[in-house]
Amino acid sequence: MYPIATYTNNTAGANYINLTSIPQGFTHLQLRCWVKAYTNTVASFYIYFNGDSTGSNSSSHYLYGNGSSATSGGYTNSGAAIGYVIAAPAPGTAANVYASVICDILDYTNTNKGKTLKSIGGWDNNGSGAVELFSGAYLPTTAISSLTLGCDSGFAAGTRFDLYGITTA
Amino acid sequence: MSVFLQPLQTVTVGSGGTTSITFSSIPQTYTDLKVVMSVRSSFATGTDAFYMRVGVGGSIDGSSVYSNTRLYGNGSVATSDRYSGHTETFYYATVPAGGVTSNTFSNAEIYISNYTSSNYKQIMLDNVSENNSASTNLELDLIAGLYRGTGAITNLQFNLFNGGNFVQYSTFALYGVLRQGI
Repeated sequence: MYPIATYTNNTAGANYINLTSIPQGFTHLQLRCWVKAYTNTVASFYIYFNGDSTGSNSSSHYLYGNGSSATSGGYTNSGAAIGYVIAAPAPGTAANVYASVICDILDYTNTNKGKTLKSIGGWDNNGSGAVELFSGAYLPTTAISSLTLGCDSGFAAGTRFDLYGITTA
Repeated sequence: MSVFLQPLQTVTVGSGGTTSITFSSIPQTYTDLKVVMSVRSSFATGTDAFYMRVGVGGSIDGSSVYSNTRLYGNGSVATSDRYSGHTETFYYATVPAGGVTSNTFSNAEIYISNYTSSNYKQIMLDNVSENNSASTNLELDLIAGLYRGTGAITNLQFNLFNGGNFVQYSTFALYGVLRQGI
């Protein structure tokens, strides 16, 4: 497991963060996220592959718990994003509360298969919170060379993304 | 080379597919094992599901010593269930098949803690099987599986329930995880 890139957001309200020129020499990618939304509502954190916002190119589903119930839902032709990875905590939560999320993208350079993202993440705020298993399918078989990370309300300062490459030999 | 997460064995399924994948002669020198899978079944309709058996002393154990507890969602509802006394674990971990958008493969991770210990083996799976549909032929699984055997694990075997093959480009990667101080 090798560190590829890290990005710490110092711009409160940044809408998008781009991780580009991803090396093509690994087998899998893992993105570790420390995420908080900028505005006063819980907001969705999502990912585009290769800057592709074609709605028909993606679908996504989730298994979600909020401390009182568990639900599952999803989106076909997911619109702008590979998926809504998690509802990031808002500034209304305690100042130091960020969501912790690990995203795995397998065989990201394999041009014979679409790319399926899996993420596990959550956050707790001493009385509120959420935990989620998420899946997103990017249907084109193109190799993944960039990730665009977005948040409906922008990212709070201090949000951080760490990208790793994983080999199989 | 990372010693925290050491690649041990990799299988990429070739043309024509295969019914079964086995990792053999697993080194006994790591703390935990991790398997990363990206698979699809050739089963003609809907979805398929994979299961896993472990081997001790080089022989796969197919006796009724497996069980699992599952939390899963299908894009519509979230449910939990349990299966006991089975001859395999991860009953029922869904993978894409003929009813799923072309070229879509699963994304799964299996984590086996203390695989050489003399205790029963607790095995965790997180698995997603996507489809470009709101709630048809897809699943997200969190499964805790138990192998009621006390021998050190030397083999891992993966099969499909519905009689399909793991299709070409399916991949299995086995890693050894080493704790600090070893």
